[in-house]
Amino acid sequence: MTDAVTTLALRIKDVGKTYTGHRGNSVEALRGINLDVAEGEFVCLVGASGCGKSTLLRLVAGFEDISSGQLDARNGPVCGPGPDRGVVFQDYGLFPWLTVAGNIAYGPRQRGLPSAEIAARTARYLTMVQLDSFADRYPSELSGGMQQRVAIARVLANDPAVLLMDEPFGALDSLTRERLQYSLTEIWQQVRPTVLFVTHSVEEALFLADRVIVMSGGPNHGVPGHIVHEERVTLARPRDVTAPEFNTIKRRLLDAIHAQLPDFAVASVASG
Amino acid sequence: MTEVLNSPPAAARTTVRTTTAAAPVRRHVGRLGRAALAVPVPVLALALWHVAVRQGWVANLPAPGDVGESALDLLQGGSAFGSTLGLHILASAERVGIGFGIACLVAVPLGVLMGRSALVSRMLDLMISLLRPIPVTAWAPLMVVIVGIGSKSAIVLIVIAGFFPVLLNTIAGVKAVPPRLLEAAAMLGTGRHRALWKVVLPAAAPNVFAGMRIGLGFCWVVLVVGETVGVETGLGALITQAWQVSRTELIIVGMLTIGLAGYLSDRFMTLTLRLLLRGRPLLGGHR
Ligand SMILES: Nc1ncnc2c1ncn2[C@@H]1O[C@H](COP(=O)(O)OP(=O)(O)O)[C@@H](O)[C@H]1O
Ligand SMILES: [Mg+2]
Repeated sequence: MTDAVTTLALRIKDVGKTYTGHRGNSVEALRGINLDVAEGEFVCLVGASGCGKSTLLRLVAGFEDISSGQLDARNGPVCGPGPDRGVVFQDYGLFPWLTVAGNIAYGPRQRGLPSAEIAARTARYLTMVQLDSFADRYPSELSGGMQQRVAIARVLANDPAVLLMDEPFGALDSLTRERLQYSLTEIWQQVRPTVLFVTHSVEEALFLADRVIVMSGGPNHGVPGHIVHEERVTLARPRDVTAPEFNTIKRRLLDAIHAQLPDFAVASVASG
Repeated sequence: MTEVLNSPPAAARTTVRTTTAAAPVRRHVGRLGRAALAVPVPVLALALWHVAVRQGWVANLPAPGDVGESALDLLQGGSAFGSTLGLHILASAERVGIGFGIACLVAVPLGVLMGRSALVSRMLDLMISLLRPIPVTAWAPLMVVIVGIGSKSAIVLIVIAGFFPVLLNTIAGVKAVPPRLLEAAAMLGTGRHRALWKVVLPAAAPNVFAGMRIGLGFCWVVLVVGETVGVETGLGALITQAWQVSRTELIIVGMLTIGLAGYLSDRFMTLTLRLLLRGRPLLGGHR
């Protein structure tokens, strides 16, 4: 892949983030983050908890402001949240007073699309996440996995240039999680959005991503979060998590992560 | 803030749909059975009241039978007070309707503003906290002086009574809106101000409605004070007039009518809201 011809969906240049508390105390969560994401690329961020993955995602989403560096999306410098960058939260964040269809139609309605177009989009994404028969249900009537599918459809219906997902399957049981990983791969192949996906599971990252970014550090380790390793994954989709090639890369990624952890953690991982 | 009713968790807000064939029948019987549970206590109270009067345990209290008779007369009889009950009820209901409506129109937007804006909240918190403990009875003489005696000052008192519960519950509901929902709306393209309408208000709705139910109740409570002077009609006026001519049984009829009217207006408001919302889970609870 020649970088010269691919257009960038995200350009993260030397970005740092320092949180300032109420009493003036400050926490430097990220420092010197450089990451370019090509249009249509699926990028996963992995790393131990506290290394700033969510922070980076929230910066891109515009929920937090960067403290240093430069952060550009397709429409220029990121400044606040916007419908060009859709977010899928771990806790879904669905509107409980709207039906499944109402949640999916929310974004298109906000943009003032004609009602025929809204209906068409709602129907399309309901089908894509296989929830046609649940269109008139309310979120509280659905399982976690179904709610997360609604959240994905809700964001896709808004046609975002970038899809930001923060451990979206982290609260689900492992069978549901595998099903959703599979569906997400299919949807991505169909729609081809740019995706920035946070997870702490190396296997999940490898199953989904074109590129896996390993992060490390974090305020609790005395050094701000930063990128330590990057792995391009060219295995054909859907990927077989038991294939030897898959596990070769997985080993390499795990080594990269564990090399960063303190000794006692390496020891416990090795014994466990 | 004792008025703040906690809304039940989201899961409890949806009714479970039962699908077995026998379920509707069983549910009907169940509902009747539950309703029947409400009967014995009032009946016992009536019986106790009756016995207490007959045995002379309490002086000057009319028996339930006499109260019933005068209630009938008040409904459609020919005595001095005869056939005026409907008039009094209508007059009171109108004042409560107007006063409570005004209270909500002011309290809900103000509550949303105070719940969302630290600036507005800092500016008004002290003021509200100082005014709130003043009982409506204490407002009454002042209102008579400012507004004059009559229907208007009664309505102003009703506004004051309904205002605070609605305001405080709205503030609490708005403060409890999950930040996640605001983030979700923002990333879907809803601006900050629009989010007040699209997210904050619906998310706070169960609390707002809880406040409205309490507020409406308080409106009926102050009715007697509000209608004491300067008005001829209204349940409060009826009680005052009956008191002046020592018709204790009429006082009791007035009291019971206020209780009934308060109860019915609560049911009416809840049902109306439920109809308007067409099943959207915004009310909180099942009732
Ligand atoms: N709003 C905040 N205020 C202060 N510190 C924060 C805030 N959010 C995150 N942090 C800190 O920043 C660091 C990175 O957090 P986070 O981005 O959530 O990591 P991850 O998602 O990788 O687990 C953590 O040490 C966390 O305590
Ligand atoms: Mg996180």
